[in-house]
Amino acid sequence: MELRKLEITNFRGIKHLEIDDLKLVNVFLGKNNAGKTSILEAIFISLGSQNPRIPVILDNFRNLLHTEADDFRFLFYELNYNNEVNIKTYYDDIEKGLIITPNSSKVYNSNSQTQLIEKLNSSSTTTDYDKIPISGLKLTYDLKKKHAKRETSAATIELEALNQYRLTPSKTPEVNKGIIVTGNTQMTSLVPKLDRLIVNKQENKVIDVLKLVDSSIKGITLGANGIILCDTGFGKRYPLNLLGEGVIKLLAILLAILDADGGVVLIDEFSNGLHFTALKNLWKAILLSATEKNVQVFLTTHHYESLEYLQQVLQEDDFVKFQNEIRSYTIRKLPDCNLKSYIYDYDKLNNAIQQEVEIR
Amino acid sequence: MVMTIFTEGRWDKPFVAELIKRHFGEEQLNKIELLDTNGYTSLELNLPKFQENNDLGKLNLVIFDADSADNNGGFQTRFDFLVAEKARLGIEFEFFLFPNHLDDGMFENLLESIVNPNHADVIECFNSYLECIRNKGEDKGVIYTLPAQKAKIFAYAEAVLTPKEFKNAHKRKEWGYSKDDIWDFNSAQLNPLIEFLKLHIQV
Repeated sequence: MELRKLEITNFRGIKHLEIDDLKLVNVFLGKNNAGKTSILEAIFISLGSQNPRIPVILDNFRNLLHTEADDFRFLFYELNYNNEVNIKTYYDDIEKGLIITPNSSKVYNSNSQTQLIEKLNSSSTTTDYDKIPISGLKLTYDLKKKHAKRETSAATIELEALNQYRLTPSKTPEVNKGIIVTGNTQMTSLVPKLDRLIVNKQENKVIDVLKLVDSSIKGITLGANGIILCDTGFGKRYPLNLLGEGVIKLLAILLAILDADGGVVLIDEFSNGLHFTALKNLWKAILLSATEKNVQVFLTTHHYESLEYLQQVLQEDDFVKFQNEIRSYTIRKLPDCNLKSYIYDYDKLNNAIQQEVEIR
Repeated sequence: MVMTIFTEGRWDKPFVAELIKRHFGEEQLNKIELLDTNGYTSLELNLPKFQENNDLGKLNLVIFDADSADNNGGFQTRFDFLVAEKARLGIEFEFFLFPNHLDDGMFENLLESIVNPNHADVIECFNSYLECIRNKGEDKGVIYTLPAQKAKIFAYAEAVLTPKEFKNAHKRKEWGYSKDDIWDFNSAQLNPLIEFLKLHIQV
């Protein structure tokens, strides 16, 4: 089920942003601090009604470690709890909403004793959350399927002690599975995905693509202690960690798509760490595997080169059929601090690259 | 960048850049983004850029050919077309039509009008060549296709530039605009375009 439209309000650095006409593969472009990564995070958090820990996971991706309950404010626009986060997602027959508000029932602070305060009614519009202690977040998911009643259910996350959270999942079902690939790939996160691929005898799908980066790679397997090993034709298998950032990034992307099956994969700075010679084939691998697995892909980049390779791929006979499955969105900050997306379909993207228009 | 100037083709772009550099200075030129649109019917392909500039308070200028009835154009036809495109696409831009925002014609007509007087006879030679072809056709009852206006400028540039200059200029998709002995950038024929640019370029 594909996400068609997205509306984000008060999330991270995004005051307000609407993105329409989403397709199978969606490329977000923009200057530094334009909000590209935040868009991926907003989609990810909107998917995870069963996992209230996601706000902390997202902050950890950004090396923001929570030491006190007040650190939940990293999610809010201008770090202001009063800016209620609102993320609306529109699928073909489903509308899903997520409202994130601070919770203030019980407070943990690493510098002071845990204290109880009076639980405030978080739905009150008059509460000034910046003046009261915050203990966690309330994530209210709202699901409206066509010809069905609207379902609303809240998830909560409360900081109880350092690195200890009390989690209450929402009763709202998840629409799609989501996997996010960030710049800091944790090898341990790849292991279960690769394991499933090997069990299903599909490891050749990633080996074929890894060969494009390092032609000596002949096989891939799992070693003891969760180490991924590559057969490079020598007497011993090499740990994947020794083969460079590009191979790891490539593997992370492919495993995510092959594992997401019918879901969503979000890739931040997808071309970082990859040599330009690998980009063309990476695009092909993304398009083919996303289609095969019915996975919708959202990615960010600021490399013009990667767009040129995408354009070249889409002109090849076997890939012309994907021209209408790709959209690129240039994200710009407007004078009123709202963000706006400018949509480039294949023809517009092709024209922009030919005319060397600055769309990043 | 404070504005984007959209030209119709790649060959117009270096000319507009040279004109701005000479009459408004390199500093102003550096503030202007020049893009070609690949034809007057391709405005829609550049829609996101027009929208982005409109939203960010940057100016869009369009400099296209007026063309003539021979190629479904003419000053009024193209004028009306661009006004209609603005409304259809919901974008804002100001426009100027070559050669002088008044007559039918194209970029190459303007170029012909600013050749250095010392070499005007080269253009006359080409006109005689055109006349010769036309007459030969009439004599035989055949209508020969006459070389286009672009061919006249090509022939002029090839004649007046050295082979090396011509080759290099051609690679850059321009006709040696930096050479004063070839082109007269002080020609009064350029005044309508300069006046149009003056309305929008703050010096």
